[in-house]
Amino acid sequence: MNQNKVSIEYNDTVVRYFLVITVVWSLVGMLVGVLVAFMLNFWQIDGGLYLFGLNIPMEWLSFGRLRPLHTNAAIFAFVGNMMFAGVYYSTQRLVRARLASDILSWVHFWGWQLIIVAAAVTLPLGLTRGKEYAELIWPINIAVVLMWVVFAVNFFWTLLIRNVSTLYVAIWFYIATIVTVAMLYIVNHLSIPTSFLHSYPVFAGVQDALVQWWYGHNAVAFFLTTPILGIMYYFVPKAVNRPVYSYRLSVIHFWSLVFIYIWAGPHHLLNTALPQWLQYLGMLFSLMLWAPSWGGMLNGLFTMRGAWDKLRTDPVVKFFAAAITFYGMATFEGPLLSIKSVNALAHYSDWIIGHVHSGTLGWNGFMAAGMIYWLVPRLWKRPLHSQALANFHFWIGMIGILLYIASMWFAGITQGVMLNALNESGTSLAYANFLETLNSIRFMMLTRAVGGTFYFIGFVLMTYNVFKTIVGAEVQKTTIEVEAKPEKETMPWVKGFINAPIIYSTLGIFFPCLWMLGDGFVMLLGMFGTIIVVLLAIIHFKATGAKWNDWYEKLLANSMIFTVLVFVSVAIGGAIQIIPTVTVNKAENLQGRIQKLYTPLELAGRDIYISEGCYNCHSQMIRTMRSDVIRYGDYSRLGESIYDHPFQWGSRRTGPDLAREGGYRPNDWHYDHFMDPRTVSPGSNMPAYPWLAKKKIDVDALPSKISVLRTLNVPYPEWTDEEIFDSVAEQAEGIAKDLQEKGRVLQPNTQMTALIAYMQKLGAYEIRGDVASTE
Amino acid sequence: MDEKEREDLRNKNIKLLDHEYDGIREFDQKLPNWWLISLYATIVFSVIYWVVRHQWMDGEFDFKKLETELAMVEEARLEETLQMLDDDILMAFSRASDWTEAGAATFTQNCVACHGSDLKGENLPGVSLVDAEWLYGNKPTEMYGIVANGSPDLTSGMVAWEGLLGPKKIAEVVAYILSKQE
Repeated sequence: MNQNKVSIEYNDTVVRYFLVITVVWSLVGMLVGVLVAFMLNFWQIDGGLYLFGLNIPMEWLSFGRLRPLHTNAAIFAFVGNMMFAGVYYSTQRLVRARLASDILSWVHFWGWQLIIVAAAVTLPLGLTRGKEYAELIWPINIAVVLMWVVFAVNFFWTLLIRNVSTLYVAIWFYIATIVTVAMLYIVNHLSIPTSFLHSYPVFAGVQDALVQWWYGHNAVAFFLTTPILGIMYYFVPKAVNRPVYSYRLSVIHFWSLVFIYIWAGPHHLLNTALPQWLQYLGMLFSLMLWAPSWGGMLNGLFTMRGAWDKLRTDPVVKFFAAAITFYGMATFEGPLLSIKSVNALAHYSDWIIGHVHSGTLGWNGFMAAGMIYWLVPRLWKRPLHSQALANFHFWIGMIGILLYIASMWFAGITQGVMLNALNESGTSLAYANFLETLNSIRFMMLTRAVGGTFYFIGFVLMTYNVFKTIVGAEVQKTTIEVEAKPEKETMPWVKGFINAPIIYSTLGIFFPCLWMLGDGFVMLLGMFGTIIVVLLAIIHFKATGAKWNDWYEKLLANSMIFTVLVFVSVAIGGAIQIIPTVTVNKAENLQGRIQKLYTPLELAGRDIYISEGCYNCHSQMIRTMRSDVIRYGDYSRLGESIYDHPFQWGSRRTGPDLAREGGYRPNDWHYDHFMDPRTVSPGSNMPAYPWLAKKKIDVDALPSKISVLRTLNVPYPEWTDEEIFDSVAEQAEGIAKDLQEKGRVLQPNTQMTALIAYMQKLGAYEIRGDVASTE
Repeated sequence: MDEKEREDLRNKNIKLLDHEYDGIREFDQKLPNWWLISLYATIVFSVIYWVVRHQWMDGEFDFKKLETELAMVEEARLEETLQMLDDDILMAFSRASDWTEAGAATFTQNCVACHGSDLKGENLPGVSLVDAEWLYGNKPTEMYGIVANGSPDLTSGMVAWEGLLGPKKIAEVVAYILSKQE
């Protein structure tokens, strides 16, 4: 045997574990999705069972608590485990090395599953941070970060002990995923605990909104897109046995994608109170994201060119081709929805839900299915139990997706048009009753639920197919012989950063930033600087482009320098958007109004609102649009949510906006509405909340909560515990007494009292200047 | 890849890179032109949009546009209200302090010369507006008509105020006068 040859046994055992658990969690995540979809049509199964003469309230069975379970399970349990299986399988092979540490691999596997179980228990119990896709409570957040670090160490360590010299494009995408998700997750989960199960995020109002959607948008980018692109770059060429279409395209679309994606977050906040320059950035960077996204689609689809015959016979290729097509569709739809005027119609509507699902069902789900059908026969060394069943899975899944997306387009556009429609003179609403618009899309919502069920059935069939294939299979080891430690062209760190492409890129970002954000001389400097840098770069590249290629080649042999460059690229966008909003004088973020502080009782009510997940259906943000103002009242100003930890601007209006709900209706209306919404709002699909009239307010938690908020610069006075308890008792007695006069009996110490108090406070503000500065 | 395809690629000068990762090879095809054009086009569009909307136009553009729209809505709503003015609405206005105060201001500027600041018109050309006698009807809408269109008695000196004051101010004045009745 040659001295240089070493024998390597891949760690495929952990890959098998991740693969099997992916299948299991896919069923859980999708089943909960189907359930919550049906809840929107049938309030009889929302928040309890009210069918066949039954009358059983069950608080853990309500839309507001289960929808976060669906999203978290689909993203972190299903796609997360699929990603780990794909990354671990392909990375070992692409770098010709066994995963660096068996211990870390197993800690990663079991730790991640424990996190998911913890999430599945806490979310239905109403334990939540109240931020979308970031609902899990702080102890679980810490566990997630730890597990991510374990994953990162295991991955980068494997890169360091690799037996190939350079890194393949799939690995670039994995690196971007690991680095960026860590950055996003940590910043958006910064919180101060008030107890073991509860915390307040450190950001509030507009800052929290910006950080949340910087995270939310890029969770889609770096949890649901970049790792899957990496998986595409490995599994698609493997499945069709063809070379990748274009390396050049890989380079360009990788770097443009990771740089541009980060900036697009504010497109979730268009036409809100968010400062205009941020809205423009969000919209424009979304438009610029179109081509980089399609670069990935082209490389995927064109790699299949020449192997289209397999499309007819091989379900794996079918799934991949469809998934990449859905990726292309979703990444065209995204920029379209980010155009401010389109967004005015689509935001808060079902169109967004449809858009998300063409990405998750179409792109993520089908990539996962393709990968699983390709991997299972190879990992267990047995042919797939049934190709026909896999084909059937493809078709029933496809019909499911199409039903889902088409019904959500119709629903979103229909309701969006109705909600924004004005009468001829433009002074009043064409459809004044919100429920009229909701009930006009009932059939579409039902179609969506049926489509989702079809899709779910497809995955049930896959589960059966996988089970039949692997049960009783003898697991074999995969061992290869490789040349150990080939010569790597190491590059000193300085050379990694000081060279033509990096210098041009740096200046090419620096000068446009001056141009965009500066005034007068700085702006002119930025403009001319940009033009000169671009011209110089083009000329220089034409002259010595080959050298740039050599440098990039060397960079690919130096994984740590590569990683640092990726981190810098993804950090810039967030830094420019978020840091000014967090650090610059807060007065500019007030727009002349400042929120009135919640009383202790109202604060308790707000935490109940968050805990029940009301934000899943109700926004608190009246946009700068005529129809919004006519429907809900004066448009929201930034200062009106400046003390909201977390912000509650919302993302979907299954119910109406609540930003100015306070004082609009009497207490007894709210009481009746919470007990059974349909008594006062015929046709409503909101669940009833009878348990709120029984459960007690956790008064003892309030002093700690208020003290944390004071730490976060909410100007609460230094109340003693007794003052807080007295204040709660007094305000609650008042509400109970008022209800009693109207013939409703409610104990003052119940959660419903607190929630009513909160409802009646919504939209309360003072004109800035009447209050002392909080700085 | 068969031999024919290799031949084809050589003819088109498409390079297959030397890299190989677990059997995966990579072409180095030129970037499709339409793709490059769409990349550049979105960048150019973004620069232009930014310069026009953010740097040339007002940074508060959206808010101001909305405020203008809302002011128009307010105006149009009032117009609609005035078109369906009836006695009840005018009586309601006479009990709303913002209407009567605005009416008082208009009255002071335009009407006291003839009707007096006490509305009695003593030793002045105008008639008393606070006695029980009404020459042309005592309904609020009839009063509105006199102010808007002037007195049928062309010699009386009471001219048509509609073009000068507009419907809103007239309604305010009527509300003010109504509020002064015993």
